Amino acid sequence: MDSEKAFAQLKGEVDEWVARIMLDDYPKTPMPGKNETKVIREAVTGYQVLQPHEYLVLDSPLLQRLRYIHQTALAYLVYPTANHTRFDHSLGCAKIAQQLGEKVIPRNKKRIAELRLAALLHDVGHTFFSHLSETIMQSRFRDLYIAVKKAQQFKGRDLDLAEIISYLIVKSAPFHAFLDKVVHYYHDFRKLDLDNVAQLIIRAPVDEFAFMGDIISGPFDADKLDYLVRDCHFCGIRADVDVERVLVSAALLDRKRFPSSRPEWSERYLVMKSGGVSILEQITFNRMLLYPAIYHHHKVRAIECMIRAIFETIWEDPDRITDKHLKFENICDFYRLTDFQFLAAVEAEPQLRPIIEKLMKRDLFKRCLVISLPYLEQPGKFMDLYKKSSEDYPEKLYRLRKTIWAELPKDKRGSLHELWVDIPKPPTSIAKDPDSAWIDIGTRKMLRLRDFFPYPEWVTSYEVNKWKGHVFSISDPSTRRAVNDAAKRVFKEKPYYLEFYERATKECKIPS
Amino acid sequence: MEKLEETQGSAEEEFTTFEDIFALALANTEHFRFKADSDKWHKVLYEVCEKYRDKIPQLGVIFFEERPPLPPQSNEFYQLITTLSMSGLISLPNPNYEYIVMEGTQKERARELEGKRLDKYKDYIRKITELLDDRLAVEG
Repeated sequence: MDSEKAFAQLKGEVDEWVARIMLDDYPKTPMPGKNETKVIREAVTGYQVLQPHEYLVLDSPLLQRLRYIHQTALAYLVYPTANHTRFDHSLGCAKIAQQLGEKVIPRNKKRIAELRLAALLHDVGHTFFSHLSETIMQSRFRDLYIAVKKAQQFKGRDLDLAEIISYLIVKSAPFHAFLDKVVHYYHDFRKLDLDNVAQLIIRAPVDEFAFMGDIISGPFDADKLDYLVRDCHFCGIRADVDVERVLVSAALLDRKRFPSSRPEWSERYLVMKSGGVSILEQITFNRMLLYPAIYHHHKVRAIECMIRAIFETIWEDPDRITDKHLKFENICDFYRLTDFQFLAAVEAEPQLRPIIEKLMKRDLFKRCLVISLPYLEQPGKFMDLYKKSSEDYPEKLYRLRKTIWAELPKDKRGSLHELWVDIPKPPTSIAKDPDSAWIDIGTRKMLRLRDFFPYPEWVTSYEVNKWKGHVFSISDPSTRRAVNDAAKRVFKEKPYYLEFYERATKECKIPS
Repeated sequence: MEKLEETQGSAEEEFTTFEDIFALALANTEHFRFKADSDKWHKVLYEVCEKYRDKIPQLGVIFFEERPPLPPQSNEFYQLITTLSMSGLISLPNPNYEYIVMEGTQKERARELEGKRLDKYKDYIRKITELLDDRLAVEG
């Protein structure tokens, strides 16, 4: 697929959707006066003052929908208080971006205001269930997504789909016109560079302020500093990040200090003073710990498989789905719905109701077999399985599921949508960040976090030992036992040749 | 039992990824130890992608972030190392992680694993092997 055509296609879809969702009469006149600021308080980052142009953006239908998109998708079915949303996170992110901006460019009100806007808007490209639907879209529309990533606008960037959509929304004609209108109404902010705001979202800010990209998306960015604290807080996990310490130790470094600098280098870099190394360690380790605790938690993954089962059912026979918006024929169809709208729409479809009823009653899929390197007596051709991640290649796991299903006794063969092999994708960015986080030790040589400790390799080793995939099925114990038996037999044969230790079954706690 | 290869048809032959390409290229080198330095790996990965992306479609999913003065960085590099480690095809010996090791038995396994399914790329893989030998291999 031609990348520029793909870009134009997606841009067209996004423009059309934004035009539909942005109300013609918004913002209503008269506009608030320039001194009519608002104060908002949220649980993690506390109070912040919103300028009129900011709360007009925040009150727009595009941002308001983020109130109904949970940050950690359906993890609240595992951690009951994980009800925080993309809206809360965007606010927190804006405050931390502002604080980082005030630390490194304290007098530049214009750039700080751009940072706040970019932070408020950085997740506007998310839709229901956040990263879960994002990965479903990325695999369903893979050719389009890969082609768009290669477009000239995104050269030198490796962007997720939600980042691309956020950028396209901010650049879309209707939203850009709205932003332009509200920003220009207020004299103090009329010089804001809205193109730079969009570029910040894709880590490609213009001019000598390139380091601003790292504040929005970098090794210790506002996004990470907010979501790490927020996810821990709302999931009740006793891990934390000392954001204040980051703010104390963050600094700007001029390239002129380095005799080896070259013209293609940026003018200035966002760095951490050497006293802040331990806080970067805290960020790295906590991110790593959150994977088994939340993002790759077996129940969270089981819930994700149930949502995937809904999409599989829809796409298997779209003609049986009565709600045309639920057919998800293109990317922007996903953007018509928020979390609860999706659940309600699915519940209204007879074909989909059985799965959603299970989900709502919290009768979740359960583990039948744990797939993990330390649990394998014979690793066989494990790589052939591991590389078929559920996020990137769900279709490659379909045939494997079908084979396990066919191996079940006939009375245990329910729907194939109720049998899943889940292979989580490793979180590669945790290893990448220490490779790119600059540390200032006061010499004429730039160091990186990795120069203090081999974090990337350490993270890789952690991942190798802690990663777990699963075979899931419905909760009925006899079905789970049958699936366990069938899966082990299938994995033992060509092409995988995997043999499991007893603990791979024991850990599933299948009632006898 | 309904055999997996029957239900999968030729899917196993068809589904090769960039990890397979590099597993075989590493297995075909004359060396057993490679620098673990991610900057050097990123440079090699970038060069390989620039040269062979049009020839080897599996490389088409590798993307890079450009942030000079760092070499272009790729999430897929970390995925490659994790996948090969997870598969037991390479080792990251403690405590200093100076080297990535692919021992003789691991090389044999990699060759066996990849078998003939990458045959059509063998000329390009040979060139990648030369690049790995030249840039990353460590004597001894």
